[in-house]
Amino acid sequence: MFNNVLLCTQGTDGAKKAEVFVFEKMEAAPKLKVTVLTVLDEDWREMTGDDWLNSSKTHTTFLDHVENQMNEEITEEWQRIKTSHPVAERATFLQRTGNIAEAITKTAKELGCDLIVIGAWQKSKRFSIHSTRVGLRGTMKNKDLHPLLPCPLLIAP
Amino acid sequence: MSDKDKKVVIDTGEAGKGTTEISEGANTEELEERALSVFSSDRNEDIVALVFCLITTFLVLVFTKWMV
Amino acid sequence: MSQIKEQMPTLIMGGSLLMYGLIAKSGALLPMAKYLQTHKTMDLQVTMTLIVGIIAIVGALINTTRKSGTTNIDTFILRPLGGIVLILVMAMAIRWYAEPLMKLISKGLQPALGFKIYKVLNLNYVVLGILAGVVLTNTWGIPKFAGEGVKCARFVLKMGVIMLGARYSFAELAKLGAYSVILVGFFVLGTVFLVLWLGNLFKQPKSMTGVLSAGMGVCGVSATVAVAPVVKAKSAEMAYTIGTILSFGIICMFVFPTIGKLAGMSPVQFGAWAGTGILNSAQVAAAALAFNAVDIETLKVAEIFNITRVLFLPIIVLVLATWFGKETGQKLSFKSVVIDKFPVFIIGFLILFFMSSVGLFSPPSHYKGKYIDVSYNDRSQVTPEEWETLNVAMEAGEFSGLTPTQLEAVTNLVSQHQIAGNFDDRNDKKLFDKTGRARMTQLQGVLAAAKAKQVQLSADVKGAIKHAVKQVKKKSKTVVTLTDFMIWFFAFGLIGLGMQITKKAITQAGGWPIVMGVIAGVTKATLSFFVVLWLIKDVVLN
Repeated sequence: MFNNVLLCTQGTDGAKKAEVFVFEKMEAAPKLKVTVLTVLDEDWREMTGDDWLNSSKTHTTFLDHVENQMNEEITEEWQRIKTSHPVAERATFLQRTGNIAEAITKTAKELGCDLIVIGAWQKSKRFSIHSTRVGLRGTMKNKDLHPLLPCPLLIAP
Repeated sequence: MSDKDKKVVIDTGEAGKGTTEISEGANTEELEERALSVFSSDRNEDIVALVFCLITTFLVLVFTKWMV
Repeated sequence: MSQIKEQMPTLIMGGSLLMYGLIAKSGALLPMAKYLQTHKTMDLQVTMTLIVGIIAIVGALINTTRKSGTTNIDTFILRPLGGIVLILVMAMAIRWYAEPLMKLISKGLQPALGFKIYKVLNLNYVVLGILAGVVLTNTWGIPKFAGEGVKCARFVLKMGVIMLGARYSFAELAKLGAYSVILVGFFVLGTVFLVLWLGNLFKQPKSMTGVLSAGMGVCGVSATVAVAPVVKAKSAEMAYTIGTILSFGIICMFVFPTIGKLAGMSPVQFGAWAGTGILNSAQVAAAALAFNAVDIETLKVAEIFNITRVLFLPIIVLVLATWFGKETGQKLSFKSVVIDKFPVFIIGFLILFFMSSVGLFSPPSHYKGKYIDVSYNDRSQVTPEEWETLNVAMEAGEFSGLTPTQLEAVTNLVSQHQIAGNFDDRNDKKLFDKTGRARMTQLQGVLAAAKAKQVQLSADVKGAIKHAVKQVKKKSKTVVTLTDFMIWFFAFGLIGLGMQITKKAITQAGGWPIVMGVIAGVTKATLSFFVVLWLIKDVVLN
């Protein structure tokens, strides 16, 4: 039914379920085109908080470090997906920077996707000291995402 | 040499002491914004702040001490 | 057309300010101002609103007709104008309306609650300003027209710090400097090692303990931002650490002043404690002003501690870089870290300090801009009611427990309506002054004796004597005006910085950093509390 799927993942538990869902479908349908998208949240810019002591150079160095580090971690994330889902070798991997809702919908429009798949909302594991994740925590709000949608949105349970 | 290893040299002005190197692949325009300052460099900002303070002090002295 | 639309908010703000200024000038607002107890600021309100209003309107009109360019005027005045006016409007609204209202409301609620809300939470204009900034960012977000102007906050805060330099004397700076180096040095290094040790104990990665130790030890987010690239922190570690530090700092901003007041700390003690225990440097200034916003004693102490910490930051970066080893691949030399990063505005602070030390703002005989003036002056007199109280008490023999010299001072106060020398000596200035000052000292002695319950005086009489003493203690107008400027700069800067604190950044707190951060932060705050109480007993600032 769908030919061109955009899978949005950030390595959270919910996103992992979405990965399983999409790659199962991909195995069953060899023609299905899948793009894996990871967004580098632009809100990193706000993580410097009320710091006013550091020079602009230090701020730039920090944001560069965040970017390089995120690139590294995202590459590792993709490697994990490829290892756990061999079929993912056929998928395209893509990284964007910006507001998450905007980046997802913009990419979907550009690639002409006919379905966006995201993971379901998960209970926060904030205080679990073993929680592992990539990047910033923060749920994308429906009211931000829905008005921008260019195609159907599927939430994998 | 992959794309990621390519470096770009950016001029960061006087306070940054010249230049900084970052990876070319990085999406620089999107994450980087001169946070909290309209000045091109910190040295400029500090010097202008000092000059403003001196002007303020001078005016205060004129109106509250020397002209009274 | 779009240009006009963009400038609309600035035009509206400017117009409203102008209207407000004109209405205030007509005196129509005086009854309300009296109710709010802000009538003394009425002149300032008129001048400020008129000036800012006119600048806002003229600037906005220029912006609508002129194409935005890249000249200095564009970058520094025309584009940031909207944001600057917005912050100024917020600052004025808070200082003249929100804060007095808060006081009235909490006074009204006192019978129901049993305490005054604004006193317990220290809801003065500084705290309210930061809160207003935080609320604005997290609800509507910083309005688009104000984006550029909000960036001026850091600049204005720097101006505040530079102006503060005018308020120190050599002795103060030396003593406070010594205290701050001891306390900051001990607690910065102590916390850094505590966190590193905790990280070792809980078997956490070096990169995480690295960022966290700097953040908890030196100056919060600033240190985290500076150290993260050096120790190659992972993204989640940075997010957890910054979130933890921001939330911890905001809690401190409210808890510290309350605890300080409950413990009866002196301004110096509280300034030292806040300067050591609170992480983010903007929050140190905020807590100091929250503890005592009228007088700036606390801020003076806290800011010295702040500056010491700023100077410690590069050292910590170097230490952590060495500790992290050569894996970083970054070469950090002493010059690149310490000399290149030396904040120039601290030199500005020192320049103002030297200007003040040579007596430019007030003669050397004045102590910190305060001086005693016992010459005849209507402004030095006690009110007729107070005089009546004193006279009645005098005749009733209420002052019988006083020493003869004290009694003489009181008798003279009653006959002359103010503290002064002998009328006959009025041409010999030196002698006149000496007698007057001696009488003031005697009256202070009366108040001290009454406080120690050695003599019995009614509250009214004590109030009248207190007022008489206060009346001859004049403040140098120059110093008062300079301080006013400085306070406005701080208020502006802190409102702008409040706008940089987003909910998303705060809610990143979690993981191991929150465990280790809370342990280290609470330990540091508690230990420094006791050390400050033990070490700083004498009141340096008189």
